[in-house]
Amino acid sequence: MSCMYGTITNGRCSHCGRPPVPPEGRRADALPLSLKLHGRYWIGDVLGRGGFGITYAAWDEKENRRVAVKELYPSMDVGRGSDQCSVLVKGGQEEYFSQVYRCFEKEAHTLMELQQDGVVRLYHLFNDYNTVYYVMEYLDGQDLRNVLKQGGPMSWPALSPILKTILEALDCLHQRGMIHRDISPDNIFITREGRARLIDFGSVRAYQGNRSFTTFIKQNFAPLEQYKSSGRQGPWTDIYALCVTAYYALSGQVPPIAPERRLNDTAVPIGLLCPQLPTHAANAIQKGMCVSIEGRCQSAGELAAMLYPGGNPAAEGRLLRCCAGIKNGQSWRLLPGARLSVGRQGCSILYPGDARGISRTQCTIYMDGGGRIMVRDEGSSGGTFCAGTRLNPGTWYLLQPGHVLSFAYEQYRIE
Amino acid sequence: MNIQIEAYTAPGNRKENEDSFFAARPAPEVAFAAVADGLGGHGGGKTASQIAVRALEACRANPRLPEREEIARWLEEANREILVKRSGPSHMKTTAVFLAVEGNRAVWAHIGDSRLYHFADGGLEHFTLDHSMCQLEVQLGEITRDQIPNHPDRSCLLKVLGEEKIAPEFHQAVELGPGRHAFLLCTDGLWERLAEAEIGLDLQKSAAPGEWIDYLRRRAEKRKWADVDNNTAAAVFVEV
Repeated sequence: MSCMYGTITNGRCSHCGRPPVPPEGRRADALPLSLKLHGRYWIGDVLGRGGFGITYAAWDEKENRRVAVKELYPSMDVGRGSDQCSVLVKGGQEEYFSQVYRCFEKEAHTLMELQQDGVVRLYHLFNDYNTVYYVMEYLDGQDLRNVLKQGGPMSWPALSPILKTILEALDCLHQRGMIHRDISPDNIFITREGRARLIDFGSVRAYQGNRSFTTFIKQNFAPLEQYKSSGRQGPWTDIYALCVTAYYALSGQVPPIAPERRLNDTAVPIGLLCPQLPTHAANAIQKGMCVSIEGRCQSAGELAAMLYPGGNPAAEGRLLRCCAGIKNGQSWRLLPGARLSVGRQGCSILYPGDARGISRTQCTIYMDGGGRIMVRDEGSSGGTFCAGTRLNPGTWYLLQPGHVLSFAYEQYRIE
Repeated sequence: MNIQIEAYTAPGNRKENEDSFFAARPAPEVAFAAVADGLGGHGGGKTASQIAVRALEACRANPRLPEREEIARWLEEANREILVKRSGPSHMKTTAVFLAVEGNRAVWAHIGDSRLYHFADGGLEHFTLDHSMCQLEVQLGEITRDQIPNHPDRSCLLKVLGEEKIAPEFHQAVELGPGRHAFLLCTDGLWERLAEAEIGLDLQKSAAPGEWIDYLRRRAEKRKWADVDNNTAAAVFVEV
C-alpha cells in the first residue's frame, strides 16, 4: 500500500523497500489510508507536502494504474471535518482560500494544455470534500537537485538530453504565451528511466500576490527582472533560470545572485569551470545566463539552436567496457537506439552456458534517441548492481558515464 | 559618561506584530539594543524575529563590547534555530540590527533592511545600507536613496536570517568622540515613513531617547498610509 506497487513481505514493500506507515504514524490532517476518492482513486502514502497541498500516491481503479493525487490543503488555513476528509476553511480565511483555489485550478489547466514529453502528465481535475484535486502521472525517480547531490556534477553528454527535453517543454509553454518563472533543479524531475519532466507549475509568486508585504528573493536561478516589480519578464526569464541550472549541473557551483552580478559579475565562465564542455555549449549557456535581457537568448528555440547545432546531442555514442571478469578488456559501442542484451542464451553479449552466477538473460542495456543510457535487470537470480545498489527487476535505470555495472564476477564501465 | 536607552514597538494596522526588540543597560557604561523584523506570515515571522533577538540577548552575559566573532556566532545560532523551527508555508525569516556600546566605543551589525543611524552632535555620522533590491539600485545609480521609501521594490530583500548561508554585515568598532551621540535602530515600518533629515530634526528637539522616539512616531503617524507596517525602534543616547 506504501507506493501502490509491490506486496508487503517481511514488513517491507517488495517494490520500494519501505515499511508500510502504520495508521498511527500518518499525520492526522492527511486523507485516510485506503480511502476511495471520487469513486476511483485508492489513496496511499503521502508523497509530499507543500504550503498549499498534500500529494498522495494512489491507485486509479478505472485505468488500473498508479497515479499521484495532489490535494489543495493549505494547512495553516484549513482543517478536516469530523469525517476526516472534508476540508473546512478556518474563520477569516475564506477569501484567501478561494484565491488559492483559483490558482490551484489554473495550475491544473496549464498542465492540461501542455501534455507533452517534458511535462508531468495531468489526467484528471475534480472537486470533492470542499476542495480541489488533480490527478497526475506518478513520477518514480528524483529531482535534479537530488540527482546532483548524489552523483555530483554531470557531464555534458548526460545533461544534454535533459536540457533538450526541458527546452522543448519550455518552447511549448512559451508559444502559449506563458512562462514558468520557477525553473530550478528542484523543478526538473528525472524518472528512473532517465526521462526529464518539468514539474511545479504553481508559480509560487502568483499565490503570493500582495507586494506590500516584505518579500525575500534569494534565488540563484532567478534573473534580475524577477527581483523588480517593473521587471520585463518573458521567455528569456526561463532561459536565464535554465542556463543557471545547467551551469550548476555541470560545475556543481551556482553563480552569485543576479542583482550582485549586475553590480559586479564575478561568475566564473562555465567554459573555464568545465574545460571538457564543448565550446558551442559553453557559449550558449553563457549567453543564456547573461544578466541583461538584451544580451540573453530570447527564446527556447534560439538557445536550442546554439546548444545543439548538429541536432542530436549524443550521436557519437558511448563505449561499454568490461573491466573485470570473463570478458575483461572487451568493449562495445552504444549508439542511439542500440540495445545490448547480456546473458548465457541468445544475447548480444554472450557468456558461456556454465558461467556461474549469470542468468540466461541477465540484463539489457539501451541507449535512447537522446543519448541516455539505461539498464534493466531481466529478473536475474543473482541480481544486477549499479554503484553497489541492486536494481529492481524489470525497471529501467539511467546510467551515467563513469557508472560501474556489475553482476556475478563481471564489471562494466560506461565510458 | 551617561547612557540612556528607550525602545517601542507597534503593530501599525496589521493583525500581527512580527517585529521584536530588546534594549538593555546591564552596566552603567554599557548598552545593548537590537530590533528585528520577521517575515513569513502565519506567525512564523514573529517567531523568527524573537529567535534573532533572543540570540543577540546573549550579549547580556558579558556586559562589555562584544567581538565581531561573538556577534557572528549569535546570528549563526539564530539562523540555525530559525531553520530548525520553520515548517509549513511560513518559511520564516527575519532581518536584524544590533548595537553594543561600552564607554566611548560602539559596534554594530545588521542583516536585511532594519537600519541603524548614528548621529554625533546632531550630524549624521553613520548609517547602515539595506540588503535590498532598492539599495542595489541606488548603488547602480538607477534611483537615489531618498526614493527608497516609496519605491515598489522597497520590500524585496537580498539578505536575511533564515537562509542556508547568511552574510550579515559587521561595522568595525567606532570611537565616540566628546559630545552627544545618538543611535537609532529601527524597522522599515518606521524609516519608510520618515525622511532622514526629519530624523535629525527631531533629534535636535529631544533631550532624551524616549522623547526622540515620541517625535518620530508622531511624525510617522501623520503619514496616513492605507497599509502601515509593524514599526519598532530603539534609541540610545551616549554623552561622552
